[in-house]
Amino acid sequence: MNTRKIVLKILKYIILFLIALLMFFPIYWMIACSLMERQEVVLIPPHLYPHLPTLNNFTKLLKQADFMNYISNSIRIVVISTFLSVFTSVIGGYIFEKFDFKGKGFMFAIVMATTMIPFQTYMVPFYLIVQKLKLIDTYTGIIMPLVVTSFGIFFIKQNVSSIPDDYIHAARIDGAGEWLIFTKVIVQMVKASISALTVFQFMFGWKFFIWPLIVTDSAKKFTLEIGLQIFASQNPLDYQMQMAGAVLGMVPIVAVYLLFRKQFIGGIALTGIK
Amino acid sequence: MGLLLLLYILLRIIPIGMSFGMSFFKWDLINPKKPFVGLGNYKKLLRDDNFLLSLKNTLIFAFFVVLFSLTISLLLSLSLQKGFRGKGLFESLYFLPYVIAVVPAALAWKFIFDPTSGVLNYLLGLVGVAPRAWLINDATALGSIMVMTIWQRIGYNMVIFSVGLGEIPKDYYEAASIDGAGKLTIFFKITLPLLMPIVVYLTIINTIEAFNVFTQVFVMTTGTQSAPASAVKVLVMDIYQNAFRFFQMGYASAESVALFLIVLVVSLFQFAYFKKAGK
Repeated sequence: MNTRKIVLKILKYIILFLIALLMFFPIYWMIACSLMERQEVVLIPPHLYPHLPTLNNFTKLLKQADFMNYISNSIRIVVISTFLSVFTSVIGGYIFEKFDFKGKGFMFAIVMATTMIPFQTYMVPFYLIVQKLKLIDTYTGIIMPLVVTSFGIFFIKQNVSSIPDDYIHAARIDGAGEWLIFTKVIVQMVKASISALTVFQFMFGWKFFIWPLIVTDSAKKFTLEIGLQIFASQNPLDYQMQMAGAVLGMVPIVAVYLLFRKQFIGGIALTGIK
Repeated sequence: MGLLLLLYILLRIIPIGMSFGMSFFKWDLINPKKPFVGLGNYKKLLRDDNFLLSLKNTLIFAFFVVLFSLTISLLLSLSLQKGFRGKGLFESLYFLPYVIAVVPAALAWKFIFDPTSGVLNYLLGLVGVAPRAWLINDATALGSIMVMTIWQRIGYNMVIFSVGLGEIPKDYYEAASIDGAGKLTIFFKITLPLLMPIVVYLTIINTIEAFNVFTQVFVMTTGTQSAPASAVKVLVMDIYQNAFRFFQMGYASAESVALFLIVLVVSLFQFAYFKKAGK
């Protein structure tokens, strides 16, 4: 009986390990091929690891000024949009939870009604609005859909509700201004949810593809994702360069993931369960 | 707060409203005349082979992606329950594909599926499977994109399942095993019923996500060595093409409304479930 248990346990580890291998393989393969020269990457049978590893693909890609530009565009867009969406969520969530004002119920209903509506269902008119505002191919235009998130407002509101009103009253009696209360009391107390939301919005912004694709039309404004897709479509057979580009597109977000792994997984778990 | 309301009106209410409004017009981006056509766009949709094909493809895509990604991730989170050694490491690895952006992931898979230099054909060749043009062949193209999508979704679903499993009180299991219940009985009589809200939630979220699939389809259908656009045409792809390639904004809006209605029905289902469950 005992040996049977041990064998089963080992078997379970082996299966889990094989699945992990399968899950990791595409990522490994992308990295391995990004380190190969063109002659090596198309070999049949393929080399399962680079026999002559080289960083040439990366230096070539980065020498094309465009790629550096794509990276800086992406970082700029994702940082600004994450900041703005987290900011509007925290303010909105706080006000909805702790203040009473005329039309609050109606406004909150509007916010909640839009949580489930995907951007794809209104991207066509969105484009026309941005066009009217003459913001096509601008950073503002790219960031626009990302500055408010109904989900974020709801999520922060849930978390603010656990802060006792007495805290806020006490601070007010002590003569603290509303802004001070907001930054020193509210923000401090929901810090964990703010960082979860930040990580979530960062990932969302980084992955956002369809809108930048529609709204940009010059290489100057391309995000890394768009630039990478265009590069791949123009050089369909340069697999090693495509893979190097893919690694570049993967590194920033994976770096953030590895640094904030707890917030990532914890954040997904937190944000998923309502 | 006023500012927030303004942002909402500009960024959400107006565009969503316009989607509906424009769907009743023949709204061409170039032509200044935009005649009212009533339900004309919708009638045209029902006879449009491209729309019907993309609807069919999207349904197939959503069905299999949801089914497989949920089943696999539930099995994984069941085996990675609390106290399992190496849980953190395995979880981080399974979660990794969800983190990376879709374009790099799709490019990597496109190369893996490549008919001439792809590693998949080589690896399958080792076990005696004949090489195939996975993405180029009509029969396997959509399936290949599903595989890649399932691969990306597993980590997310697994994390949510793990949280749900962790919330089931231990006493239930202990009581059941004292009563001599087998593992399968415990799963079907205790775990699954208690996990049902999470299963419903994930089904809804994944279905909506799957109906909105675009990026991987777009990447895998551009350029040579890629999937035939018709075999893998999905709803958002068709909306994108009608709006931004053929500039038929009104028609694309009607199609967007169709997508909206599908999402609405799916969400209402969730709403009804949780109302019934009394949550």
